[in-house]
Order: sequence, then C-alpha cells, then structure tokens
Amino acid sequence: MTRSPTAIMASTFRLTLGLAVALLVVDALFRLLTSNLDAIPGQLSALLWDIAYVGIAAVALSILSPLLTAAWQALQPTAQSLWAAPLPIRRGFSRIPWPWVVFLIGAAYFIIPLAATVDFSLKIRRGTYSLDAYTSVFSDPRFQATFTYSLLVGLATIVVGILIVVPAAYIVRLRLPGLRPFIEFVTLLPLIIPAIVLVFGYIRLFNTSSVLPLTGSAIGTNLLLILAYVALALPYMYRAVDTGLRTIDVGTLTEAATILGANQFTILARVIFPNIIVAVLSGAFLSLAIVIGEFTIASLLNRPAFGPYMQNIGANRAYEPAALSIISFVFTWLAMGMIQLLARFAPKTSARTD
Amino acid sequence: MADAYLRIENLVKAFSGNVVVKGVDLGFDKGEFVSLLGPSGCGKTTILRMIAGFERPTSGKITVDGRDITHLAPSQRNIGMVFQAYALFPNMNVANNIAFGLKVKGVPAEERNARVTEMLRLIGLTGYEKRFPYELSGGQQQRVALARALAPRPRLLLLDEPLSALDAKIRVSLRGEIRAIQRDLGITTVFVTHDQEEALSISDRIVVMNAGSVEQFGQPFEIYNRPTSKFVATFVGTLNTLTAKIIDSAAGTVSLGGQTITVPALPKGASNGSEVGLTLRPETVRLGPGSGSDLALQGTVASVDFLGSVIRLKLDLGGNSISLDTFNDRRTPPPALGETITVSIAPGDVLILGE
Repeated sequence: MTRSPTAIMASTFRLTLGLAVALLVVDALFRLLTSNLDAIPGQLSALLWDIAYVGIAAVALSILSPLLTAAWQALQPTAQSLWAAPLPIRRGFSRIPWPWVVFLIGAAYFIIPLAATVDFSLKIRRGTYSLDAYTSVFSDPRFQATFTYSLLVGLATIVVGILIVVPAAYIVRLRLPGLRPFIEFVTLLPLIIPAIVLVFGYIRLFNTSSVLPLTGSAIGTNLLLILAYVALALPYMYRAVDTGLRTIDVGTLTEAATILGANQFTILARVIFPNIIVAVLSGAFLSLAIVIGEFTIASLLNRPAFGPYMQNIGANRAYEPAALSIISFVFTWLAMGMIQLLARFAPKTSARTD
Repeated sequence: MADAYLRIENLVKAFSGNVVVKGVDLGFDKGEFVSLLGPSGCGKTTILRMIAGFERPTSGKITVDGRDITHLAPSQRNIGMVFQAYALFPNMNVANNIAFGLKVKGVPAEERNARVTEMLRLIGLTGYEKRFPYELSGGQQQRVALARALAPRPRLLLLDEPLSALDAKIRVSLRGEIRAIQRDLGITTVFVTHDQEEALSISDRIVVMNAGSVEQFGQPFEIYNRPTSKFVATFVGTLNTLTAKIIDSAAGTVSLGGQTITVPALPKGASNGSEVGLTLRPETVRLGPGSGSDLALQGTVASVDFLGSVIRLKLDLGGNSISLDTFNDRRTPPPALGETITVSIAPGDVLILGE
C-alpha cells in the first residue's frame, strides 16, 4: 500500500480542491444572499481573494501531503501495538501497562476539570461543603423558565426533525440511492457553517422588512429558533436515522407491506418508523443535548433560552455557574445514557435458516 | 391458453437498454402451481416482480381472470407474495403480521381475529400468536409469511425463492407443506426457483427460462423426459452426451463404439457420415450387457460417488465419457475404480437435441 509521492500529491490536490469548491459555492451563495445590491462588486472582489487563499492552501497541503502520509504511516504501528494483546513476557520499560497509562491520562483530562467544578460548586460557604449553590439555582424562577423553554424548543425540534428526516432518509434509501453522497454532504453542512453565520443569515433573510418577517413576532422568532435547531441537529439526526434504516431490509419490508395493500404513509408509520424508533430516539436525545445548552442562536434571536441564561449567570455570579454546568452536564449524560438503554429495546431481526 | 386465469402476453422488460425479458407469452390455469425455473439472470424474478407490480413492463400485458392489471399499483392487485428473506415485520408479533393485510383493508377486528386463527391452524402454528419473528425458526418465519400473504384471500400467490434461505431438510419438508396448503386452497401460484429438483417435485407445470426467453413450458415429467432443447436437458437433471456417426439418416441408424443402433429421430437434413450428439440421462444407462436391441458398451470406471440410495459412476468409453446412476444394493458392492465393466443403453432412451 505504498504510493508514489506524486500520486499522493495529486489525490490530495483533487480532494482539497473538491472541498474548496464546495466551500466557495457556499461562501458565494451566502455573500450574495446577505449583501445589498451596491455592495456586490466589493463582495465579488472578496470572493476572488477567497478563491486565491483556498487555491494556495490546496497547493500547500498537496506539497506537504507525502510528508504527512509518511508521518502517519510511521505512527501506525505504534497506534496498533497500543491496543494489541499484551505480550507474554515483559521486562523493564515494557512492564508498564501502556494502554492503561494512556487511558488514565485521557480520563484525567476530562475528569480533573469536572471534579474541580463539582468541588468549587459546593464551596459557596467558607470552610464547609454545602448544596446552597444548587438550591439557589433551582429556586431561581429564571432557571425554571429558561430550562422549560429550552426543553419545549428541544421537543419541538425533535418532532420537526423527525418529520423531515425520517421520510427523507427513507426515500433516499429506497428510491434515490444515487443521491446518498449528496444528501450526506448536505446534512454535514451545519457542522461546516458556524451557528453565528447561520443566525446572521436568518436575521437578514427573515427580518421585519423581508417577505417573511419571522423575527417580527415572538411566535415567528420561536419558529425560526426551532428551524435553526433542526438544521443544527441535522447531522446527528440524519446519521442516526440512516443507521437505523441500515439495520432493516427497507426495500423488502416496503414491498411486503405494499403488496398487502398498504399505502406509503401506512408503511412509514406502521412498518418503517416502529422498527427504527430506537435509532430515531438516539438522534432525538442527541438533538436535545445540543439544544438545551445552545447559546449563539438563542442569544442573537433574543430568546429566553437556557444557554443565554447560563451565560448571564456566569457573568454575574461565582458559584452558581459551576452548579449550573454540573446540572447541564448531568442532563446531557442522562440523555446519552438513555440512548444506551434504548438500544436494548430495538426490534430484533433474525435470518435463521432452520 | 385463451381462457387462462393468469395471462402474460408479449411481456418485455428492459433495464436501461438491457433487455432481460424478451417477449414472454404464458398462460396459467386457475388453481395451478407453476414454477419459473432457470439460472440466475434468466428473467424469472423480473417476471414475478412484474406480476406483483414492483416492476413496470416495458411492453406487454398481464391479465388475471380477464382483468388487465398491467398498470395497477401493487397495493391494488390483491396478490399475495412470499419473499426469500421472509420479510416479516420485526416490530409486530405473529398475529399482527398475519393480520396486517386485513387491517389496511379495514376488515373489522372480529373477522380479522377469526381469520388469523384460521391461518395459524392452516400453517400449524396455533399458539404462536404472541411470538415475535426473532423468536421463530426460519421455517416457522416463512410459514408465517405464507399465512400473512394468504390471509387477505388473494387471487394469486407469488413465491420468490421462498426456500432458498433455509437448510436442506427444512426446505424439503416446507415445500411439501406449501404444496399441500396450495392444493387445499386451490390458489393459483407462481413459484420462482433456480433449484430444478424443487421445481420438479412441487409443480403442476414448469416454465424453463434462459436469457429472458421461455425455453419450454410443460409438466415436470415432460420437461425431464422430453426436453425440447439442449439447455432444458442440461439445466433440468444431468445429461450424458456421446458423439456418434450417422450411417443412414433416413433409417435413423448411427454408429457408436463400433456398433450400429437405431435412434428415435435424427435432426432433419443430417447427412450420412456426419457426427451427431446422442444424449441420455444417467439413470437410463444400466449395468450389464442388457438384452435384445440394447446397445452394450465397455468402459473403465473413472469415479464412484456413493450418494446413499443412488450410486453415480463415471465411465471412460475411449473418447466418450458417460455417467450413470444405479440404485444401491447391499448385496452387490459398486464397481471399483479402474475396473472394466459393460453397460447397456436402450435405443429408445436416447435423445437427440438441437441447440
């Protein structure tokens, strides 16, 4: 599997150029959508500079790619032996259980800040541990209001997300398999485009002087927030649903239901959806975990969500923010735990031959 | 053919220029069990899927009981189908799987339950109502799939290689059960298989297909004993081919291994002195010199396959090679490898096939 440096350079160049073109298209669209008519010439020159930067980056990456590949290949054996079965005889340096050392360093990276935060959140009273910071947080009416608001927005996001993603993923899998790479790319766009870009685009497109003045009313803005969250959760939701669809034989089940007289809606609602419900729920919990703590979009749309509240508390109090982060952390972990738990209830299929 | 229950007329299917079904005409009688038999890629599954409505014919017509269904949606055809991969709904128990077709048709719960009970009795799985598909064996799952297909009383039953995913023993017992249920209900059934033994044992009639066309359509006995083409003869069963020299084409005499025999029918226009291929089934070759007009041939044993009830021998006849089947007999052990033995052929068993 060793390739010549020129071949590596060529393929890296193709790959980076492809990515760059995709980014530039998004860039150009965004610039055109969000600028006034008289600003277009300026935007075009900026776009030309972007093209130049991206071109230089692609060339530089391609030139470096053989070196990077060599370095990666040199690292491979080490990476593999780390997880390989322990050697039967160990002496000296090799007696140290390296996998465990690496694991502990990694775990410490996550656990120490968390432990410090827990410790700090309990020290609101001098010289003694207490849960006062938590009591203070829970008794704050703004906590209850913002948390409930974010929870409701999260649930709405899940419902809208399911209604969009499940039929889309099903149709793509069943009838348009050729479109899958394109759809996957589209669903990944929210990871590429920062939330701040998205929300500024929304504000420009849906402001009070636009055709669809969604930001003009609280209901409209709530709707916009939900739609923005659906877009943010799209990569997770689509992947979860698509994975769920992969575990069942979508084509044959659809045919079996069709010939029994079922229409498309019945098939989706009674046959496909119940069989991927666990995958859908895992996507839903991921979405909820994202929505609950989201700050950028909620703040810029000026909605009373949990993210801006946490930021506000963080800027004005000392101990409560620590308690809040632990609470939201526990919530996220509960959501993740639910995904694990639900996996046990997935409908089982069996291709037995007896 | 004119009053056939299921009629297929000049059916053509092309996938992006590649013609997989080339103008097929078939007519199946009511209550008949017909198998579509052929190697993979011969178009048999495509025909079944066109009957079901999953594929749209490029041209041609399909009628059931005189009614044109060519352009109907699958859900409106009232056809039952069983798939190779069982395709039971994993989220529903046995009873709900069987009731699904009735439910979407809006059959009242009481009638539905009665029908489910009836179907379960038919497939011998009474008491399994609450089980889920993953709790059943492959054979049981396929029986439930059959019950699900039959519950809405379809006009036609389509079976798409329903036994292929099963172990050999279950396959044999289940095919017997399927046939018994089909006879019981008198439902017209189309069965797709690539297994010739399965097709021969289960069908009223067999359609042998090759490369998108029908090679032969007839009863199993006819297909096996009077194949009309070399393809049918080789695909259904095993075949020996011996090269002989024509002595007198008018009288039908040929020379084989220095002996002259009279064969049933030589191809028209065959000239004297030219070579002709004689074909015969392994079971028509007998051990021993035979009697009367039988042709006796000497050869050395090249291989001996002991298959249990049958022993298959391969003989080297000096230029020609021949395989023969003989029943196992516990009192006489089979010939040994390399032994020279005499076998006999009745001239009436010889088939002469065109391409």
